[in-house]
Amino acid sequence: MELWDALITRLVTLDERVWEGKASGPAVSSWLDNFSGRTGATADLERLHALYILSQFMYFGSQEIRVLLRALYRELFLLPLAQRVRAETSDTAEFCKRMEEERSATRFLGVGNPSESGVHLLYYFRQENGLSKGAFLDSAQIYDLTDVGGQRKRVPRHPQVKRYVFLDDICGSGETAIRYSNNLLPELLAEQPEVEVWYFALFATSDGLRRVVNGTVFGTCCGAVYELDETYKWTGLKSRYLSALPDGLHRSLLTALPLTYGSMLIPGHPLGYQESELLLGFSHNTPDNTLPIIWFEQEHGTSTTWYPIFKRYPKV
Amino acid sequence: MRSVTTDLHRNNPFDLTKASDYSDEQVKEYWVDVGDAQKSLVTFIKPTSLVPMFLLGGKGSGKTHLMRYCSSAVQELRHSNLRTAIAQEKYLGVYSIADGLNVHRFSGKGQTDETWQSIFAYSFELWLAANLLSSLRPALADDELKSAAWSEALIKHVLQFFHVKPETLPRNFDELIEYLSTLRTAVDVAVNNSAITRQLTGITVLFNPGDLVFGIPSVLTQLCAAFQKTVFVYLIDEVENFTEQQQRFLNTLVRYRKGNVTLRIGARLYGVKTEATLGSGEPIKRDAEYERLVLDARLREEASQYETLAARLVLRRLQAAHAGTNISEQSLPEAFAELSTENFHQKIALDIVSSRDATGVERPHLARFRDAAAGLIADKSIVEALVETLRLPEHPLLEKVNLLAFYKRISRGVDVLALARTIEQDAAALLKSGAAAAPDYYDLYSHFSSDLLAQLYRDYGRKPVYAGFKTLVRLSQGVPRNLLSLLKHIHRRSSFGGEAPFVRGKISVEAQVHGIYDATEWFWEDAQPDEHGSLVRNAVEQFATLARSIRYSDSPSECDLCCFLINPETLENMSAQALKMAENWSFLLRVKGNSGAKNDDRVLTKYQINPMLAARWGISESRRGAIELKKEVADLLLSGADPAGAQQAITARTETMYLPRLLEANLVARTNPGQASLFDGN
Repeated sequence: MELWDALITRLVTLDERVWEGKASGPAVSSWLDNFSGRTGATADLERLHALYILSQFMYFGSQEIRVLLRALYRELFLLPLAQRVRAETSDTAEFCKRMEEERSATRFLGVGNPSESGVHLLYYFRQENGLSKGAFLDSAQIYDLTDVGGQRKRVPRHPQVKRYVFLDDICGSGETAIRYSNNLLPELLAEQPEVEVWYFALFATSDGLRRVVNGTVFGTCCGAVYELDETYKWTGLKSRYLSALPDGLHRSLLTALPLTYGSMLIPGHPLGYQESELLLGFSHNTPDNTLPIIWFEQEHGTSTTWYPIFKRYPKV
Repeated sequence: MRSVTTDLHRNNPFDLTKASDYSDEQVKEYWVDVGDAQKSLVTFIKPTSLVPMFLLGGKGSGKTHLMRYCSSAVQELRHSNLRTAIAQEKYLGVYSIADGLNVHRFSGKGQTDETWQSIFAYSFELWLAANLLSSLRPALADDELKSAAWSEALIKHVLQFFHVKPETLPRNFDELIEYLSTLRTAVDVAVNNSAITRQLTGITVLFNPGDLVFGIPSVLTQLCAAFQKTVFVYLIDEVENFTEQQQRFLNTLVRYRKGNVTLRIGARLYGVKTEATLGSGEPIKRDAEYERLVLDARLREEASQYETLAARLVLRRLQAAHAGTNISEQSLPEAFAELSTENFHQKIALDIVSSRDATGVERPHLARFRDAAAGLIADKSIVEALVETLRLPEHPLLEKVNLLAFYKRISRGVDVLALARTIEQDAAALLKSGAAAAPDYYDLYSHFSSDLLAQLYRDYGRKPVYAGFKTLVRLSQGVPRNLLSLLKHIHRRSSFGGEAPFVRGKISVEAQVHGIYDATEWFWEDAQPDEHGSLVRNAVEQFATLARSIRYSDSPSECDLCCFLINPETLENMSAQALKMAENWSFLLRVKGNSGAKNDDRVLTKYQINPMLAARWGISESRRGAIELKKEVADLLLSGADPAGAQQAITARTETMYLPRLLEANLVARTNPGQASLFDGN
């Protein structure tokens, strides 16, 4: 009872201060009702453990996302660029001129099509960093189509652009970056080998980033503001969530709960896409790398009734 | 199902704001009173009385708000014109907050206490004098300010107090203020740099202590006909920041008050460190030389006035948040859901027990009774007959009253089955015909119903309920900030629960209960009794543990216990200090008036555990029962020196209130406590 009350007290504060009122008491109650004793524990015990899982959920609201977008621009893009330019010139006037040239030869692109979250972030990215509209491109605008020997061929549309920076909200498995690397960029790099392609995410798992470094044309030109190491994997051996539990909670049930219900919801990915096992969400969406018990909703194609606590807006 | 984030949800109307952070306009805007001009809170501090007053109170009791409300800046806002305000209200409030003086500069740095005493007194008086003139300035007429003759006369009179005249004389009122400020700045520079130089050079004390504080108002009275009947009130706030030496100077001003000048000195309950004056150190005398008002204690005494104040405070906050516009003082209580007491709490009690009843498990109080009786009564059929006779399935609370009545009336030699049948008949008579049909039984119910209900909640894993606006007022104990804290936490719990507090529907009992528990934790953590923290917290914990042990026993000796009678004069030093600190930090409240001990003519002091803390231990917030604590027990509980001894004392005090000792003590012959089968049912 005391633990239950303590967790509810934590949720009241989280909802008030962090979650932007998106998980009020009735919503939490409806979500808890999903847990009916399938793990073999009583429904009450499952709900207590579910409450703990929810109390660990990391939410990044619109204000936090804006701050992260500023950090991304400054820390991952601007400062490394400035260091590089400074290494080439010690003259301040020359430095400023070169920086301006570099900036104007850079284009920012969102990952995904215009309806997806990576692109959605560009609007706020532009606002927060005081950038002009001209600094942005849609990925389709990288190329022009020309007729070469009777065959349609993609050629770079902006030969003056020296640098393409791809932005995403989260790099979970790294698969999106790999896809872009394989499908979108080969022709560009074949035509303009000197062009730089960068990939930045607000959040990235360490595994995901490693795959991008080792398996894409971005190579080491990638990074994230917030790197999620293995301690962020819910059931991982080094899980930060399960390392020191309050009395009354059982590690075994905390690992069984998302797995049991996740298997029912998304049999192929019970702990999130590619078993990412994350526990985070944004004001604009909840990534599929997060445990499905948090975001799964009935409309997602199964007959399973499930009430999400932080809904995911899927790619249909 | 999802709640919509509303402005009201985000902007809690009851977020705490200290009056010291308010602008003058906000002091006026957020002011609420207990009645009309004749019954105003302002009359509590009697601004036109020349007798100085210490205005004391717990944190958040409203001292600063009250003092600032009497300040010249807010007087002016009330009347649009300070001169008119002074004419109507007959006083000028000169508000100064001790915090701004940074008083801790005036010590150490290689100087003697005597030196610092003089420097502080000089600097403090310059500060008060400059504040006085600045406060009065808006009340001066243009023809006074622009008149060279008037200015010359004023400056000449004021400079008469100075032993050394300035090289360049001030020419007008503003330059006089500037002159005083410049003198004080020079003192500040010397004081601030003395940490480096280890010297206090460049300071010359130019006037006698008290000459400016009392002299300037006298001059102003002579020169301005409009102020001839004005009382000049120095409102000096947060005096707890003063050191003992510095307070001596203040006390000296109180003693040697002159003419049309008086002082109102605001401090926390523990803020007055000495009553001694400078020189001989002779203390100032209460009632003869000064009055003492404890604001929250006064509001507790004036219960109906405080209730009015509380309701108005809530409405003003709602008004500022553009919420609850259809709520009036009268209808405010309706915004809070309350427990239904109908038919002897039948519905609530059934709600509590119904889910476990459905599983077929015996109710805990009956199971405990059966186990205890079976240990003493050889004939199991008698045990079962007792249980069945006292059982009252449709009235779980009265079922507990049945058991309590049994425990209270049982004694060796009593026919227990007959006793149980009498109780059964009493319960039936009460239900059928009301209180008059079973007066003793009803008396027991009315005394212990809240304790028994709390037991029922606890037995079923739920928190005892505190709910309703009147309860909140009672919990806050005359301290408006406590009330705001309670409401703030209730509001956030209610919003989280998907309710629309003060907009639609009632605030649920559940939201109130959880909000009150949150506020209790805030209160417990917010008070920081400095180096004595663990001593004080331990003492209060021990008191509360004893009260809780009694309340949740099978046969409590007192109903709604939250008070203790102690003779503080007999306590050991450590215990007396813990008691004093607990009172200073409002963990314990001293109940006005003394009580006699039950068995002799000793005079005892009554202390109540602050109802703001009641929820922390699930004890009663109502002041009904009180128990006397003998010196030995009080020392054990308060001093913290012997935790095991304290626990033993609590156990010794309560063990016969619990089963099975409760039955053993009443049924088993004391001469042969080891005898197992003593009772034959007749």
